[in-house]
Amino acid sequence: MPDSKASKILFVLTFVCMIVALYLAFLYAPVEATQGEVYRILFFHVPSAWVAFLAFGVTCFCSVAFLMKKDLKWDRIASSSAEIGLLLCTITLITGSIWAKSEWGIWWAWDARLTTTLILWLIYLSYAMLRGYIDVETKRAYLSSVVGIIGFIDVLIVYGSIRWWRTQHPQPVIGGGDESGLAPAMLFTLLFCVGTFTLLFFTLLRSKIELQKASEEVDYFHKVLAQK
Amino acid sequence: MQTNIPVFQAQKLTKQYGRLTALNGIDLVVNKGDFITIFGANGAGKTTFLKIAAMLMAPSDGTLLFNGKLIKEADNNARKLIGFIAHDTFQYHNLTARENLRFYGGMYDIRDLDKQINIRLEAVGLLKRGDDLVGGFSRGMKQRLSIARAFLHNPSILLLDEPYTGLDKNASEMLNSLLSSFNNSERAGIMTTHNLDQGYDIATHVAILHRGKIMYFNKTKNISKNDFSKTYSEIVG
Amino acid sequence: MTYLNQIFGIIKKDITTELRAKEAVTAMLVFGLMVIVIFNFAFNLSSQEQITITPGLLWVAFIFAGILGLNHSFSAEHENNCLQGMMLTPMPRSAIYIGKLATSSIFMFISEIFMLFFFIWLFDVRFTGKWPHLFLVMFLGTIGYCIVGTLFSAIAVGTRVRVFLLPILQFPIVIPVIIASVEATAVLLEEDAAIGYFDWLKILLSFNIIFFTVCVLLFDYILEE
Repeated sequence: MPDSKASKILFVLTFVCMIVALYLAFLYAPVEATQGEVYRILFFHVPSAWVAFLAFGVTCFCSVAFLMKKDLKWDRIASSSAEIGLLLCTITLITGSIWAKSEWGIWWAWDARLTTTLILWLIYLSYAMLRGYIDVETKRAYLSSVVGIIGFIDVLIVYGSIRWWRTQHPQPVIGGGDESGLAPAMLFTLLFCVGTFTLLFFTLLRSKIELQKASEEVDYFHKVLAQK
Repeated sequence: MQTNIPVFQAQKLTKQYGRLTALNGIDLVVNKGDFITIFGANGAGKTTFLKIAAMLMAPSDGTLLFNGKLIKEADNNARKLIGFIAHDTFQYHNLTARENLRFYGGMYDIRDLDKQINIRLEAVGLLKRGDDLVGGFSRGMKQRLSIARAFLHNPSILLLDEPYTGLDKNASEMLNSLLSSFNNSERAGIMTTHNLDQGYDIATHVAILHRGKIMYFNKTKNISKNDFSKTYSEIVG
Repeated sequence: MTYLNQIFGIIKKDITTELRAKEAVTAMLVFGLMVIVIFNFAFNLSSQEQITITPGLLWVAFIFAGILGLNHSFSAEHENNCLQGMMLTPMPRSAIYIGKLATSSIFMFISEIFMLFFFIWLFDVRFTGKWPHLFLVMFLGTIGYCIVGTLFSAIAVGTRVRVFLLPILQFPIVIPVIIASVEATAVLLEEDAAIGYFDWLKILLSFNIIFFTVCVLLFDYILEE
């Protein structure tokens, strides 16, 4: 695959940061007083949640750009970003669920953040399904851009209304303010992990876009051969 | 002859679906009184061309001019100049013929719409069936109603996309005679078809569209039907 | 003026068709009734539980039934390619959207009122003295549901699968509408004065305003090829 110099540097940087992040998360950060070792899942849960939301923001931005410029380049970025977002959103839900089980004894709690993440995951899923059901490239780009934009705006409203819903139906506060009591070493580790996952996102995005270009090329040759 | 502004003009029209090129630089000038039939095989780009001409889709590149005026974005005033007939009838089966016409006609500013509807229904021979549901119409009757719809707002250019599809010989002949009676020096038309037997006789000009390009263009009075069909099979193969 | 006439043209056309064929309202109503009856067997509620579950049950029936109406909205235009016929006329794309939104909302609202009668009859629910409040929630909730639903209906007919894509697109997006409508209805069933009722209406209203603007802007692109 034709790799540019920039993407090589990005790849190496992500790789090094990943190793450092693993060291920080498992060895450097001290054991938490009440939760013990389990809390370390936080260093993967929070960054993947952050990237899941970031990725959807990128999808929304590129969808707007596509509708304005009508250049399929933007659609390629939007859909690649959504696919990575779906992956990271899945990781967020799984790690969150494991954490909840060990922490609160249940796999799932319907609190604002968890529920919003679940709905974000569902929106990603419907976006991906929609793309799968349209054959014409340009049509697919237009329709999925519209869903990408609406989905992103909706996630914000969903979060607001679920939070409100929860305040109307008081529940034992779970998971609230868990970052507030972090020791400096933990906070540093968390921030480093967030940074690393952001780098990971851009590395994955680059290779996904390259992959998409390659598959479009194969598709194109298929069609040309079919015509002859 | 006075200076003549073409009713319709396409300049270097290009349409790409992703990497596939459907139209590759189409130039076409249509003057008042012209009736151009574009022949081409399936997938040659005929429907794409007509859809762009009717402003149903935007070209990837190139420009459209109506009455010498450049069309930038989809222009609702230019839409009033176009009458479009396709193999799809655009009709609601649960509405009567008259209701269908009133619905479409209501989108234009037409004075005395009901009177216009009667005139058009009369012209296509459907006046007596005007209050019957379209769902009970034959294919030929629906296509006649399509003609009435397309002429309702008195368009200056008529676009026809494979209008003969699904019509039997009688209905095709009726369509041809209707078209020639509506056609006059004030109006122009562009028709696409893949069928050489149809559409040649009423045309003033013929063109061949192949792989997104116009490969041949001539006046019908300069070439006989036989010679033209030879040229067609040479180009399309 | 022309713009309004064009919108009314679409509404009139849809209502005439509906009066003649009675497709959308009947389908929604019967389907909604089925949902209510099935719920009764699925939960076998005591009368006290009925009151707490009523608002949710009512809206689940509305929402599932509404999908049928929305699916019908643009698949009716897809037949004989009428959508393209409308796009040929000098009518702005947004008029198509607003016209279809209006008729989808009207049909859904009418079937909701019938469903509500059956519901009250079957479950002995009392909205004493709060009818205008209830209708207002139903009205705003239905419009909010149809604002995104009409757009997604147009998206769904542009794909290979048409019918079953709509609920998949629709349900995650309308969650704020569902939350607010159910909560506002629940408030009305409480004995005391309605606390928080207007707060939920505010959420519905802001959802409607935001998405109406967004959908009108985005509708043009859906019809692009």
